[in-house]
Amino acid sequence: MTFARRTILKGAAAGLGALAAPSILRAAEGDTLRVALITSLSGPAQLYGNFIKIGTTIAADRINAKGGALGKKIELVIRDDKGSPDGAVAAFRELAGMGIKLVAQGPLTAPLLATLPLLDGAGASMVMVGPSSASLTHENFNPNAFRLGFSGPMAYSGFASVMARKYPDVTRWAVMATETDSLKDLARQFTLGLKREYPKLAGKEVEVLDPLFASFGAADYKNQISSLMDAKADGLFNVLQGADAISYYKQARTFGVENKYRIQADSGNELSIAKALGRNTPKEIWGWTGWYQEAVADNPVAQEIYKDYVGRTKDEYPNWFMAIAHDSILAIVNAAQVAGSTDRAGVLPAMAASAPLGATGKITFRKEDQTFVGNLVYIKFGADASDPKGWRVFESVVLPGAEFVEPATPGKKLA
Amino acid sequence: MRIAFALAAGALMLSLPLWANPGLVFIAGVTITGAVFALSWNLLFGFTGLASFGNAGFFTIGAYIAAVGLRADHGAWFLPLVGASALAGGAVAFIIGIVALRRSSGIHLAILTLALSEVLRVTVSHTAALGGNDGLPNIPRPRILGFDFGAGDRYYWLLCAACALLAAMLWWIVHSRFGRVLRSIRMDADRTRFIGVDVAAYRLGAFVVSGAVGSAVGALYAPWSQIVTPDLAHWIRSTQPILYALLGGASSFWGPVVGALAFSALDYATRTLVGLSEIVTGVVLLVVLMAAPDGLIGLWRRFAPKLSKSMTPAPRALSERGFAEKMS
Repeated sequence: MTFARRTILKGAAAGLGALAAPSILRAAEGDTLRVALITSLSGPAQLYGNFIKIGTTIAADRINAKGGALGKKIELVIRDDKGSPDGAVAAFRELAGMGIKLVAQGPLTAPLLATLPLLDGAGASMVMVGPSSASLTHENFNPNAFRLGFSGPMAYSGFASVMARKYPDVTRWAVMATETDSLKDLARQFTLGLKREYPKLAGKEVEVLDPLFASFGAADYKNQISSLMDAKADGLFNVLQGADAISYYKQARTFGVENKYRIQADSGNELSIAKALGRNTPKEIWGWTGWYQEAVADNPVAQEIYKDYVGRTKDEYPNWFMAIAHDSILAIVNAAQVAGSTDRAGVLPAMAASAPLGATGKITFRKEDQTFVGNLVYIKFGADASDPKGWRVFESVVLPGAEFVEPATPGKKLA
Repeated sequence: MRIAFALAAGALMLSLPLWANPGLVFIAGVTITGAVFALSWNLLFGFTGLASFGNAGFFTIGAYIAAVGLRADHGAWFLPLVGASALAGGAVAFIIGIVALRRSSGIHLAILTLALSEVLRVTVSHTAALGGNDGLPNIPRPRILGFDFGAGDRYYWLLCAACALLAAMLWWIVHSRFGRVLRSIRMDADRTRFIGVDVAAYRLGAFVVSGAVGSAVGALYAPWSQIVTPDLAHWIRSTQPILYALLGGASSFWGPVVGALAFSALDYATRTLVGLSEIVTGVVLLVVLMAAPDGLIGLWRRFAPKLSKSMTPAPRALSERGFAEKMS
């Protein structure tokens, strides 16, 4: 094998040609309205990122079917943050360099914390897709970003309220949690909610036993389950997530936990438990979810989006991130349309003032800290031998999020 | 030709902010820090024969020291902060090394360093003062002697200069008497000990230098990324220098740099292949590593004589190059 000087020159020319590609060089917006999506399409949050991707794609297609916005078709420019702050910053800087001013990003907190400070310099507006960390609208509040998601205090105060309404006699609760800061905090929020909501709604004081903890990624929960079987409690709140939750529920079933407790509440796995366990799903579980299609049966937008999703994927039970992602694109593009441009000076006030009808209902943000105050959804599901899947959703409850959202303290840590 | 190639690569990197998309400039900055971090790791593996799977811990120590200092408005003292990070990384490496290197080597050392790095990650993630799991965001860039490195791309050039300095220092170490003894230990520790060399002391020295440089690079990285999180100490971060060194060629000083550049270029080129990016990257890396066990530098060495032969047929040039390669 030999290399001629001419070959090397050709190679160098080809290399320079590649470097001159528009995706590498600084580029300006063309005849489409480009909207950026930065999400986790690989890494630990890939599952959610995939739902976010399809939700935003549905939103862009729907907007385009109605003629687009600002006289242009929407073009989604999607980048994978790989679940890391570095990945998010690289993606954001590239997209900002392409002249994109409208950005949707989520669901992970750390990549968001990395890109939020860059918004100002890029003159961009952001909608944060589904993050739950309270810090994003409190100590790390950024006036250039709106959070379309549910904070922990909001979601779990509402959850406690549902329990107090549905099970006023269940006044002794046990808690089973993975020993990580974020999940322990969810357990704390639920406990605070129980202690506030039961006296108010059921006229009774509630007792919450000391939580039982398991390590993250644990495979064996028998010791904790034995303790749960001995606990003097009627209600059980599970704060195990993902694969941990599946292992736990399988083992708990053999011990008969579902027969001991009058009600089991699950922190955030919603229908992924039933999808994984099928006929072995516990008899009844209440779960929090950001969106459930049957809970918003009177919302035509939600039903259209649901049909679109099922048509594309053949999956009848989308994760709530799909709907939230749809609404994120709708909200920020609608704001640009109202403002008449993608300039931040017009988009941000329009985001705060507009309330377009999305999958979650009217998309509204609290003015002080720009956090979403839409509806909260809770579902009860469980095993059902008559259903071909082996399980079904029995009931859903919708509560107004504005009643449960924590106090606004933009720029300051939530006490 | 090698000098011309190095100069061209250097000019390309330095000129990047003048013509490239800011996203590519950011990736270049991350790649530069990753490359020098990999050089510091390869001082242990490629030149001393020690495998550490926990060097991300040193990187994290430096990154957090710089982050805390810069967030406390000590940007004017950034260079002393980098020095302090190097001292802290070196000190931690000394403490770990004095225990670990006496009792373990090979896979035992690898697992021990991996475990210590994970302990650091978990500790940081549970420390509220260090931001817990969310880490420390909004890290300002330094302002040294009234010169604001937060403006424009100034910090990128500072990063290039500082990393070049660290790389030059490592090159000097590797090519000094100290470096030659390290290579002797890697090739045959028993024989080196037999001729009177204190092998444990030299290994400890290499471990301390590697920890200090890794920590200094971490300190330089913090204001570039402007956020530090406990995931910096994750074991996956510790595998990055290993990957860079194996891809570029662990037996060559510049191998990790070539590996870092190649990996980043591949990663960037496949960024829009959503869902396929990792597969494409993995397959390409697998093919490269199988085709070139000595990495890309090894591949270059295999084909360079043929290339040179076709361009400069003088036998004397071949002889000089062969000598230079052996010394690199």
